[in-house]
Amino acid sequence: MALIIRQHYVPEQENWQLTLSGEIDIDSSTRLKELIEQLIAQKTAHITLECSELSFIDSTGLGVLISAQKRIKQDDYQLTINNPKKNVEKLLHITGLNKIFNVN
Amino acid sequence: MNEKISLSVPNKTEYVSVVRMTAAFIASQLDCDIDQIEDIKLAVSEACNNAIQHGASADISYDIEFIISPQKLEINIIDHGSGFLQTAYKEPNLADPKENGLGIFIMQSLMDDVIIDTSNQLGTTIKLIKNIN
Repeated sequence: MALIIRQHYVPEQENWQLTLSGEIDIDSSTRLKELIEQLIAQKTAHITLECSELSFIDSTGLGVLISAQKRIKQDDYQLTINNPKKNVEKLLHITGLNKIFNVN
Repeated sequence: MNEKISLSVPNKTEYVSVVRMTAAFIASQLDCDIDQIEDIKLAVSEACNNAIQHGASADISYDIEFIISPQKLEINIIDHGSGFLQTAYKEPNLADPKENGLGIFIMQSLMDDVIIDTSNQLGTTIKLIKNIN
């Protein structure tokens, strides 16, 4: 299933909000990485990922999120993952990334 | 009696989803529950990632074998590259995660057994085993 990304910026929250649907794997993670790099170059801010329609993520996708978190944390911003499906939440738990990102 | 399904897939990222969907379909046919199917999909994807990243050039394929028995599903991902350097593998520091290096750890966390064989010097075989209830 293809990865679909919708993004918008909420200035009063200094927050890039990305809605992800589909699958993030070794093929699609490059596109997510490029988009996040573009957004951060445009404006460093919080990043919030709405993941209720994200059905799959692998280690390459997690690598993109780890990289983004490290980058924005330098400026005291935070990456948040909202509404992960059970399998995504399980992966965040076993990798310990639920302690690195905000997960709601 | 074992039954075997084989695939040969180009060494390209766009085909990993084909292997993942095939694995999910086979697991569902074996009455695996949804959690087991998700585990198998992710572990197979990670093994394919490894084959692509550490395997041969893009014009060479890698192979996948699904071996089905009453007690377990065994999946072999066989690349023909220079070989994954298993001795260089370090378990990730989960308190300070890096962008790379989580794949093997994820496979080991999700499957009942993971065996990485580089002994033939002709590539790497990752054997993933999921016991079936």
